Amino acid sequence: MNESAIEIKNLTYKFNSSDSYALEDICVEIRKSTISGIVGPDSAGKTTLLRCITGLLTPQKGNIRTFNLNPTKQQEEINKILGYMPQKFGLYEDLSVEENLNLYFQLKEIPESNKNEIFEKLYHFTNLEQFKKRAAGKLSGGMKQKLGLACALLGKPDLLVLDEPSVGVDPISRKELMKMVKELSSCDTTTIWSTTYMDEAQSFDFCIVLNKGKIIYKGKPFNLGKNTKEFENKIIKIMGGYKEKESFLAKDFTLKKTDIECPVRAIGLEKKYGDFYAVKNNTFCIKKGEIFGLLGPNGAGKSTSFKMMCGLTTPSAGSAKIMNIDIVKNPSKARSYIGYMAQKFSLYGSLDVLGNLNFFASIYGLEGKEKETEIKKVAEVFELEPFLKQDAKELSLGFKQRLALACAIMHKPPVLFLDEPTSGVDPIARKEFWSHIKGLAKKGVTTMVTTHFMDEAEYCDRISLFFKGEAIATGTPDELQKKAHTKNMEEAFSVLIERSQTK
Amino acid sequence: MLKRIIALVKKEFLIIWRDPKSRMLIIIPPIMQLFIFAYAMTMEVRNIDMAILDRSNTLESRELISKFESSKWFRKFIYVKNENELRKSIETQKAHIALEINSDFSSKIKRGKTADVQIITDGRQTNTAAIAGGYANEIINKYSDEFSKGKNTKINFETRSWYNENLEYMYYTLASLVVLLAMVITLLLTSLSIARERELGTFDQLIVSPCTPFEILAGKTIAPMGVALSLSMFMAFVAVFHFKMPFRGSVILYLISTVIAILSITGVGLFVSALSKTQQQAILGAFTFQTPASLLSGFISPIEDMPRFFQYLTFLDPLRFYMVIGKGIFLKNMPLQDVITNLIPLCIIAIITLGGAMWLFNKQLD
Amino acid sequence: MSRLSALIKKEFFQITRDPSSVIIAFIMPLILLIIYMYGVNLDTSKIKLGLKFEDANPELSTLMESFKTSKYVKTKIYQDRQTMYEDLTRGKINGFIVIPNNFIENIQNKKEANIQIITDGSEVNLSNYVKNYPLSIIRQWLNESTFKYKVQKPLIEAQIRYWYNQDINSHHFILPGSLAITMTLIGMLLTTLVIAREWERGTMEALLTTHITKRDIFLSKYIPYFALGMLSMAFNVFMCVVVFKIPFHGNYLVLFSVCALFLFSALGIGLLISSNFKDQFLASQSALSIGFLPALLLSGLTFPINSMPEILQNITKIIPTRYFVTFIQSEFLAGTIWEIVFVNSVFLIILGILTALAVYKNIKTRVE
Repeated sequence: MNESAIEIKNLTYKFNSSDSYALEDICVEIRKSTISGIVGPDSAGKTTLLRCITGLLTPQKGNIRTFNLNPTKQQEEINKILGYMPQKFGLYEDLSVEENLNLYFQLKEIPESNKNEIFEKLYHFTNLEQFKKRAAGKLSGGMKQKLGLACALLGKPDLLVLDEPSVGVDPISRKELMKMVKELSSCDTTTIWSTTYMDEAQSFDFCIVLNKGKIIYKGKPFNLGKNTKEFENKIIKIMGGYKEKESFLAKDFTLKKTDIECPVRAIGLEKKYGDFYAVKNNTFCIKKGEIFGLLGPNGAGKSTSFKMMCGLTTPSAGSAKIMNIDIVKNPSKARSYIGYMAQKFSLYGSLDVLGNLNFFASIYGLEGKEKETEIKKVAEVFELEPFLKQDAKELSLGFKQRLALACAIMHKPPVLFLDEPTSGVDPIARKEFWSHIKGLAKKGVTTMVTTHFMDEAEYCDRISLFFKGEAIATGTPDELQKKAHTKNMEEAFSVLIERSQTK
Repeated sequence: MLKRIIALVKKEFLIIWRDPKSRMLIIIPPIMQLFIFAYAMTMEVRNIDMAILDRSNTLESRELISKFESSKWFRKFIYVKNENELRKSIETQKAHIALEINSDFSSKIKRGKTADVQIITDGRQTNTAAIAGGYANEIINKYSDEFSKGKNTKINFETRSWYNENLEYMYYTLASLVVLLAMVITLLLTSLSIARERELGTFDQLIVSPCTPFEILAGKTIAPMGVALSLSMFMAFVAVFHFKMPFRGSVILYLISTVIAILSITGVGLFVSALSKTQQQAILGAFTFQTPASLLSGFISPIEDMPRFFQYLTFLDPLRFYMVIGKGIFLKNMPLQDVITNLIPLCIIAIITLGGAMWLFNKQLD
Repeated sequence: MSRLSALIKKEFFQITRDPSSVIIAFIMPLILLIIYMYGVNLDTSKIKLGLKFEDANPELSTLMESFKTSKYVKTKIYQDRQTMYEDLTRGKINGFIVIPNNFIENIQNKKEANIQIITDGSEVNLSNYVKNYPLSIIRQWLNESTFKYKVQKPLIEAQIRYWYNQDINSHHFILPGSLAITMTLIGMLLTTLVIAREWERGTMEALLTTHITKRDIFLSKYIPYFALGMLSMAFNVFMCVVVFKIPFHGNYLVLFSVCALFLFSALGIGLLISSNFKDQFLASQSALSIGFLPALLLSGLTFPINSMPEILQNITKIIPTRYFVTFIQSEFLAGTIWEIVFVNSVFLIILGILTALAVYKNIKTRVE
């Protein structure tokens, strides 16, 4: 039980392209048969550490023993005991669920004799049986992750390394992922799991907190906090702390006066693919200055609704109006009121930060002096100044997110659309992010947001809960919790969905 | 609207130009290819190796052979002793052509009778064979004429070639190459442009902005056109100043024609790109267009020789028209009216393909 | 072994799922074959010739008749020089002939008679035909005309024979040669993205932590595309021989064996591009800019390698298509000639091994 699985001494790693260390002088010991969490902000070095442990990267300095093997020299031996799930899951999108499983089954050289039994068990846990023949690329986000995890779990590895397996997954699926890991791996398995979800990290046996390439805490998470909230606050504290402050961005943000009461309106919105309703009869109205959250499990139709609202998908029926202008009938005018931030980073990676700011400022009609001052301001507020000449693709996730928000609000839009803006972002960056959004809302910006973080849901003024294409409940977070007779959003989410399922 | 277009053009340009690797891939290969192909693409056949079976072995036969030796087309001469060796040398491609002189060669000439000589060529390279055979025939005819001098009426063929007096093959090659490479560059710049943004997700971001499909398309058209146009002009410049190719037409007319031609190819590239979901499909589309387009452009074989159906097909090929204009303006000072007749189809192609690309933007929104 | 077969199976699934692979392997070659068959014609073409007879002598009517009936030229008779010049500039005619005043009189008086031939030098190929065809037409006419006795038959007559392709049908050599070019394109298109794609989509990272070895990746990228390429080749040969009726004098076993060697090196070039980039965009760009024209122009199919300057001849030595073009034309038209098979195979093997070694070296098994 107390044998060590991984010993790291003085590990240092530096990327060729960068001046600073990705990992600096890391010393840590991970015990066998435990679940360890690696927590930290973006670009803290979580992925780099995992890759060094698995032998995918060769460190410049230091010593790693993974199950008494040297990952650099004995990669093949390590691979024999390893189950690894990279951030992009490593699935072949054009292969079916079954074919993906089969492929990894054979690549791990598991004896054919137990195949049926193993597969049955995996299908049972992942609920993927019915989608066996479906291409992996056509699965919803949560299911892809389950499949990726199933592939990593094949062969009952002694060491299971998961790189942010739960990014962008709804709370129900996250629980299922955790359950899969606990029940499908043998009790001797050592698991290393990197995450930005504090509730997950808090539940592990051991946790390593990384910041800027250094370990700032290692030990039992319980010692940091007895519950998620306490744990999160403690982590924020040791990472340098966060003080609620007024958003500079919102401070001198002024909107043109309007009398429109509902800047965002959906009237009987509907999307049909063949016989299948992705979204069914959706009507809502978001009041000026309101933060409106769309919640729901992956594949429930909130993304489709979101896309219809910003004109990326044409509705089969109904209409969407931004500042009283129909987005289908007069797209250019309606869109000029929108600030949009996509789920996936979707700025130009091959342009530098300044190039992106310049471009988005110009297409939203800023020019001359105004453009210059606006760019200067957002660069300052979002602390982008040191990176202005850096390619956007080289930024860390947190900074990408900042840049995306900066690009979305430079033209002072009265309406803000945010699609899972904080997936994979660390707690401090998220808090900062929300302080900006709340500040903007106070100035009258109307915001529509989708999210999987239930603590974020509580920032919303109103929430619409989606399930199977329909809004099953709408109201303030308190109203929803009351309706579900629960004390927190997460439970409310599960209860309401279960209730609707049994109906 | 104009300001948005300017911003879009700037962005497209930066994307093409900022990455040094991609910049190298755009500039270096076409220019290198211009130099390489200018020398490589010639229908002239030189360095011909000849096998000789001289059964006569007389003054006359040796004189005939010496005519071959002093010709600029032939390089190596392999003397063989018998049929078998001759066959072998052709078969293994040691010789491209063989000359067989019969034993009664001199005696027949002396008696004033017609003597036959055989020229055997390697038909596996039919083209080369026909041309080499032609050279040999010419040499033999000339030698034959020397014998009959003064004996009969002489008809002088006064042959001249206009526009390219020495029939410099390289001029013809260069005029076509500049056109071909302009297509390769333009397709390279455009065919991936939309497909790539789709794969990376930036296309959604653009659509959600106030930019209209027309503006997006304008950005995607103007920036690559600028790059392709500068490269084309540079290549024309190299052709004229480095390769000393004549430029007889109007520079302005050439510039205008090139702009329109590149616009039409840009249209094709963007249409392909808008049609594809992935970069893999886009690159396939680009290949599927450029191979037939160059084969049917009239550069490898004349359009008039194609079957009717293929002649109609060439109307879809912007290269076909641009090729005529390019050669015409460079070498012939083609009159305005004829340039215009060839520009009209190019304009139509541009309108259809660009319109199609814009329609595809809207359609694929869902 | 089971790892390798699993990987190969995966590649096959991907090939069958993505219609573009099938298009590359079968539809594109079909299109190209049809174009080479009907669209490309290197046979001596029918030239458009302008005629201006300034001599009104009735004897010339037979000469005009000879021009009109010739199957090599299409004649247009002009009354006015200016329009003829304009038509030449416009490319409506490829050249023209002027028979001057007193032409017949000069012949009759055994004086020197002149004929003016002007060609459009901007079309160098056609120019050569314009120079030669009228010559033979006029010679023929003289021999048959009433002035027969005034001219003597030439003393030496060359008989030209074209071995292996008696009727100098250019399709008989273009089509087999075009197969080599098509196969180059296919080999490259199939493979340029297959490694870059795995990096971009993150699947390579997952593969590297399973039990697979570098050798497995290497072989799993060659074997499936090799098989697909051979299938495509078989389809191409079938189209050539059975549908387009191109005579085949060789041995199918030899043909496909050498083709296998060629495909080995062609795939190698595609994989070399692919293994050099972790980004599909750059891989595609390089394939587009360096893949297409060299195969078409430097392989010796359209332009004879022999006539190129020394340096370029040396450059063509590293282009596998060149060897395959030589071989396949010979195999189709002349049958199996062991010396040719052997020489070209040796070069293909060398190139194949060199590219394969470079690909193997380039395959990265770590993320950095």
